[in-house]
Amino acid sequence: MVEINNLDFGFASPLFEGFSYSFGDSGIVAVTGGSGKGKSTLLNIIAGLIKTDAVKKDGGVAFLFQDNRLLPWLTAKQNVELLSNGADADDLLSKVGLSNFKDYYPRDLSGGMQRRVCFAATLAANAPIILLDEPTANLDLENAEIIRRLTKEASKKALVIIASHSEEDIAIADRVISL
Amino acid sequence: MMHSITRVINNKYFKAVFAAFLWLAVWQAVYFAVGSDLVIASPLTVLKTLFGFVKRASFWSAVSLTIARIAAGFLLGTVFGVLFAVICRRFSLLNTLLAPMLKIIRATPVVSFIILAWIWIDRGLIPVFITLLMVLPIVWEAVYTGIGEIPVKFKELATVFSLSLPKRLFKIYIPSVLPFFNSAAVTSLGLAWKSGIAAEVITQPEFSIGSGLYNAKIYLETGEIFAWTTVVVLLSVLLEKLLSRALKKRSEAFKNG
Repeated sequence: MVEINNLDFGFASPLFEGFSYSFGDSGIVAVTGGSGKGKSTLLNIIAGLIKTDAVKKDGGVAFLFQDNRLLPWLTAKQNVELLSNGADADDLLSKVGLSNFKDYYPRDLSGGMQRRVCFAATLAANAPIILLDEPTANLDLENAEIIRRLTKEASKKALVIIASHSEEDIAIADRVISL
Repeated sequence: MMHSITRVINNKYFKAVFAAFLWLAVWQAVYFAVGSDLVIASPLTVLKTLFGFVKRASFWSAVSLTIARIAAGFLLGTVFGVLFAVICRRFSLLNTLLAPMLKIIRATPVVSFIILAWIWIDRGLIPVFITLLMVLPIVWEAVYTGIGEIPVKFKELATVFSLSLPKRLFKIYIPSVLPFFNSAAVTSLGLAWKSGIAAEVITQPEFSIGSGLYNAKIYLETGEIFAWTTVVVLLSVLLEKLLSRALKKRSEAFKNG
């Protein structure tokens, strides 16, 4: 469950003024809007990286950051295991089509592969709140579709909030917030 | 034929052996030019002296005790260096308080510390203390910098996913700081070795390479001075190689563990 009540926040200029929204506790909520409108900032606020009293949430957060945050000294599998909360890293890597690359280090993976490892690691956390920032960026059509299917599956047990420009990503959402 | 010769010349072992022989030849030439056994010993004299050394039990006692003293000082300096770095990163006030001490240790000539330590502590412990004092600021500063350089994006990852302390420590923090620690450890080992031997020469603890050097100087045994120096250089290279290899293995373990 995530609730935002009367959020005021901005950097040089205000991004949110008296923003309120109840995200509920499951399903997919897409956050859309042009560049610099505050999509990633909103996810950072919900993740707790930007401190505010306006956010109330129930349970832990898993966050697929906009950039691929993989530890370079760990293999793909070890990166997934690092964030895992009882999930099977092999199974998740197989679901994102990387079972043959589980022992590869990030430097030996393409940008798209790294993105899929990050996605698998995010799901491995088994968190009730999943934040996805541009989840299908740098992915080909087939892999983007796999990510969307797995996101749909995850949203049955967790609240998924997606910040995205992609129309296909927005199309799988149950609700859409336009910033 | 030409190809084979080029291959031999480019072989790294050949290059190393060639370099060694070249410098031995230069040394021999200088010995002939000077023409005095008192001023410079010939490579052959040094080799003979070394053979004489290895037959004596006292030589092995001196070598092993010197290594033990320097290793003890090195380990203590490393442990305290890491400890101070972590504490100073955690408490900035303490860092402000201790920073001048760090600068003083680095700026003070090692011989001043040796003389002061002679007043304060037991003679046998002075090389340990001096080595500790030389290693501590290097490790301290490197680890302190390393902790500050842990990428913010990984710290955020740990915060958002509420990673446990052991996971943060062993999977993120230590591997991030290891490159800083490794280079500081290798650099400080060379310094530890030199300052430890210098402390031994001045304080002459029983069974030590430093005492051997000092006695050779007193009795104008130039061959022995050169032989002891050769032992010091060889041990320094050997220990540095061993440490580098151990640290590399440790880093791999952190990567794969």
